[in-house]
Amino acid sequence: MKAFLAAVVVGIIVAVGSAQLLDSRFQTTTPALYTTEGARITSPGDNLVQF
Amino acid sequence: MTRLTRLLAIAAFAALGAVGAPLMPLAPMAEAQQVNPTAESVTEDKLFQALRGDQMIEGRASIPDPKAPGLIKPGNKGWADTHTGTIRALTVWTMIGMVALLGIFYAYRGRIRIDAGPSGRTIKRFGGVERFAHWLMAVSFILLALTGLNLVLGRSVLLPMIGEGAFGALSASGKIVHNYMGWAFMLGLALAFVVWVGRNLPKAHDLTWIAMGGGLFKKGVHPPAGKFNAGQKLIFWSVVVGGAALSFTGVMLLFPVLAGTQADWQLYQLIHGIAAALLTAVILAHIYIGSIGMEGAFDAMGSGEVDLNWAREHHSLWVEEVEGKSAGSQGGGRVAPAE
Repeated sequence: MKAFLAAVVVGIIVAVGSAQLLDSRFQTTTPALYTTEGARITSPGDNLVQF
Repeated sequence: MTRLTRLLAIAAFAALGAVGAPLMPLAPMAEAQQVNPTAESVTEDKLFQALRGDQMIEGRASIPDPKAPGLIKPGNKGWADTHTGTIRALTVWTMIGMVALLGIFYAYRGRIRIDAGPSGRTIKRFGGVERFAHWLMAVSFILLALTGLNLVLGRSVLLPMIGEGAFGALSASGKIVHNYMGWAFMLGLALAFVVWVGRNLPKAHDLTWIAMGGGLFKKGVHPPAGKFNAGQKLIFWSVVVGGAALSFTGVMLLFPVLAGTQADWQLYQLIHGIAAALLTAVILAHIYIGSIGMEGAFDAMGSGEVDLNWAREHHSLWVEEVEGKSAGSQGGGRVAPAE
């Protein structure tokens, strides 16, 4: 049980840590990356299945 | 100015106008044509006609992504058909097929019991690091499988059931979980490889185990096996190879710029989908035999201690090895009464 709980905790820590690292150093949102002086791209929000 | 002079001036302007009319307005008209925003734009009708064919459709985009102007490429259609057709069908039928096989096996064999019955004594099978690596892979893989399955089947299965808003929120959350839990899976995979690779190299007795069907199909049949039998070795190498393929292609999908061309990216996505479907089927069988399929099997990863009779029936060579070491170290305390 201890090994299982430790795995869950470490899994969450690794996931959150990798998210922080990637978001802060390697990844940029599309609106932020592709917004230029001539074109501002807004965030599409969470619902990506609008038809 | 006399009346005659005024008339002459008007006549002169009129004459100039008549002569220059064809020339002077030409420059403004040409400019107007150049900036006409609709003169060369693609009409919907033209676009749909082009989409029916196999030709490439490209345009210009103002964003600094060189791949963005590629709207439709012939190869993309084939990939899209494969992705939404073949991969989806493979995923569905692999899952259904494995669950059906396990159901048939359970109906035929039932739960595999300890033939000699529980001994009341246990033997240490897996240490804390081994169980930690296993559960890290297990927890992350289950989350990855569920969120990945949603990408493949969610629109056709979940969307009609829960609606667009809920499905959109669920899929967006699932994408985040999938992207970042993948790193936990990679850590667990690397740790498990280091811890277990030495015990999973092929041995001669593995052939005997395979020839006897692992003793799974007949009561009282127990082929010799070390710490891992041939079936477990197959699962180990499936997880290592499949997990490595999923990890590499997953990183390529996370960072498409590293993947190369769109064709490379599509290839990685197909490999990712196929490997995920096959590995999920293997893991379903693993979960079955490690839980309801075999008495005493879960304890190996639960407490780390297994019943001695269970170990003797399914891993006889390993028990001999452990007992030999224990005897060599004055009992050693490796085999203990069950609590």
